[in-house]
Amino acid sequence: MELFSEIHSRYFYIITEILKAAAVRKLTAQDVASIVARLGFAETSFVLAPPLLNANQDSYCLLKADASGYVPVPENVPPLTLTALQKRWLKAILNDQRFAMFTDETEYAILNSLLADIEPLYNNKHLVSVDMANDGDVYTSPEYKSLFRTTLQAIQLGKVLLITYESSKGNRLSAYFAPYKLEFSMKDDKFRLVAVRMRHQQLRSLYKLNLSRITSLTIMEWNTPLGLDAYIHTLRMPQPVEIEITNERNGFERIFTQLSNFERISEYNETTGTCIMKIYYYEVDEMELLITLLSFGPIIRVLGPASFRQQLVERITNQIQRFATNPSNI
Amino acid sequence: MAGFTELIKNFDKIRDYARDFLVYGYKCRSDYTQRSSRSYDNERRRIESYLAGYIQWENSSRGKNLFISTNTADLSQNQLFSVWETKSFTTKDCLLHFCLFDILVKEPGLTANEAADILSDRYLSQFPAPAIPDAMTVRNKLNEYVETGLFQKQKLSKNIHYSINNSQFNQALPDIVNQLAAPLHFFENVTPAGVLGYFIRRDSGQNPAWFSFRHLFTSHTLDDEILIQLLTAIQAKSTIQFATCSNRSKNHFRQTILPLKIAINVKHGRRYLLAYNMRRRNFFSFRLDHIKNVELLEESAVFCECLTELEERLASTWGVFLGRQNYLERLEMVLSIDETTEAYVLARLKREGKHGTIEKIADNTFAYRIEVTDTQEMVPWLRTFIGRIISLSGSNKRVIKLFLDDIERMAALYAE
Repeated sequence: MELFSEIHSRYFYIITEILKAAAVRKLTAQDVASIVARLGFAETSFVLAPPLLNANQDSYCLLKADASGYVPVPENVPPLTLTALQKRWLKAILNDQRFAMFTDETEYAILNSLLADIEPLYNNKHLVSVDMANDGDVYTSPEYKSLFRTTLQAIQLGKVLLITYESSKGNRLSAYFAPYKLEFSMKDDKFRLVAVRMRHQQLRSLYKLNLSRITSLTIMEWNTPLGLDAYIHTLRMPQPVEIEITNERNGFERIFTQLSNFERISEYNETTGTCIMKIYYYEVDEMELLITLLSFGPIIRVLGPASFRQQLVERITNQIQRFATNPSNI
Repeated sequence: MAGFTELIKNFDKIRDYARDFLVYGYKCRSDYTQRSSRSYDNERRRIESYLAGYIQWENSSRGKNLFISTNTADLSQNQLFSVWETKSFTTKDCLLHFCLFDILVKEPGLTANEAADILSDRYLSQFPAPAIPDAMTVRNKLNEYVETGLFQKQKLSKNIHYSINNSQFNQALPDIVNQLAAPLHFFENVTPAGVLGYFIRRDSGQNPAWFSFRHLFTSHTLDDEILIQLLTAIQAKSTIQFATCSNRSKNHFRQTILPLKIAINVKHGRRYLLAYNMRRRNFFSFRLDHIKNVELLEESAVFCECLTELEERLASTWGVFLGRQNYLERLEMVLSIDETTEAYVLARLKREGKHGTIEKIADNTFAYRIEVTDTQEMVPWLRTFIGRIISLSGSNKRVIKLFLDDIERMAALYAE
């Protein structure tokens, strides 16, 4: 079976939702159009509603009209049934050591037995990660698993956490945090808790706490404040970093791919043959962005903002001075 | 625009355009010289439709630039998964999908003829002039769904009887699907073919936003059909033939190789097939996004032997350069790191320095040494230490010179 299949089509999904709704109460043409508009792609409404509503040769024959509205012709929608490929994917993730963080031993054993006769879609030993940090989190440790599950539970319940944390610089912090999301980094092979520190029940500052550096955490009775999502979005740096890129050494392809996980706008200048890119980011990610831009070498030039540019220039200047002081070391 | 349809038959049609809009974001109609303007207009319109919430555009002097822009750290779900939901289908495909499930829910174990009769008598008879699928069409669809694992069949005497797949797993699914919500949400974003998990989540009505992702390259999903074929070949220890075409050389060429592993560069965002070319008797890496039309050939007798040698080479490579055996390049970088205030730099050196060694040679001075197949692959990482490099030396003089020249050029870029 192929991955690209109409079984998984958005249209089939929308029709399922329409049939479910029509089984509860008769639908008007407006109701159908509204479900299609809500769940479909931008142009789906023009395409999907007519064959559902019209009784002609091109009709799907799934809805029948009477005087008071549309009723479903099939009495049952397809039950949730997985394809062989989906079961094989599930078996593959079940074999991933990180899966055990989500379940207890009994649940894991049940899932394993239910998929006992399924061949995994892939074997992790056939995949190799390049440039991944070698101090990834220890997902199999019972302490780590407990931290992970408690943190996830607090996010799911929307509860404030009391966290004690030891930073990489050895500083100890104990404070209340409104948990937002668990951020996973493929490169660092780590989970970080994205959370906002709270003082006197007010949101104060954004933190990303390495889960493995949390020494204790307790779920509090209080709910996280409303508008956490909006608050975090206000913390995005007001000025994007602006860079100029040349296509030397296939620079466009390399840089655009590596920076594709940032929000950015780019424009090509035909006269100079360069691209200008604006990169939007959060302050907590500034140092990593700086190092990433430094790694591209002379095929990019940071145009601004001035403070960011200055940090980069300082590093280059320091380097030039070091080599000037000790030319024999080169 | 006559003949435009939102859905598509062939995924390859959209694969390259979607990647270009996501990765580059500055290309406009005039940049696509290999295909017709009509083709560009249609694909652009489709992508605008599929990714309506994420697409932005700007009018520049060169025309309309379309781009997909999101910070993946803000994303809970890969926006490009929607491209996998666009396979076209016929009216009969749709009718049969919904009616055959309903028929078999009510009466499991029917033959194809019985299902076709029920479809005609109880379902289509409610419409004035329906197009009635014949028994062969119904049988084909039933067999297609058996193939996908949605249905099962059983031969009794001379007849084949069809039912919805009632495996233990499917029976338990309604009870366990809620407990799967969190792992599905996580793994769909970090594993190959994760879109399959997204479909389970979507179809069970779960839309959590508990995780976000850093260093997530969402365009990888576009190559997952190819990836599955390659992983299947690796599992079967089989040689393959495939077409490859890079952005630089626009010509497709086919070659036969033995696939061994998939390498995922989690920093630069590229995925590679690592393989042995038996004709050229050497190991090569191929970008996954450049691979098309994979065809499985026969099982290879030398798979295990080649895999062992590949693993030996991987142990001394920095990235995915596999070309040379028995020759390693040496590199030494001496760094100034304040042990008291900059311990995090030392930690990064250890964390990212792979199989290199670190020696403290004086107070706040550390020597990092490594032997690798190709020093060139290390250059972007070495540049991240600019500002604190006391000395740099190595056996590949050309790369060392280029590195030093580049620093001069960087300084010149910012000279007032």
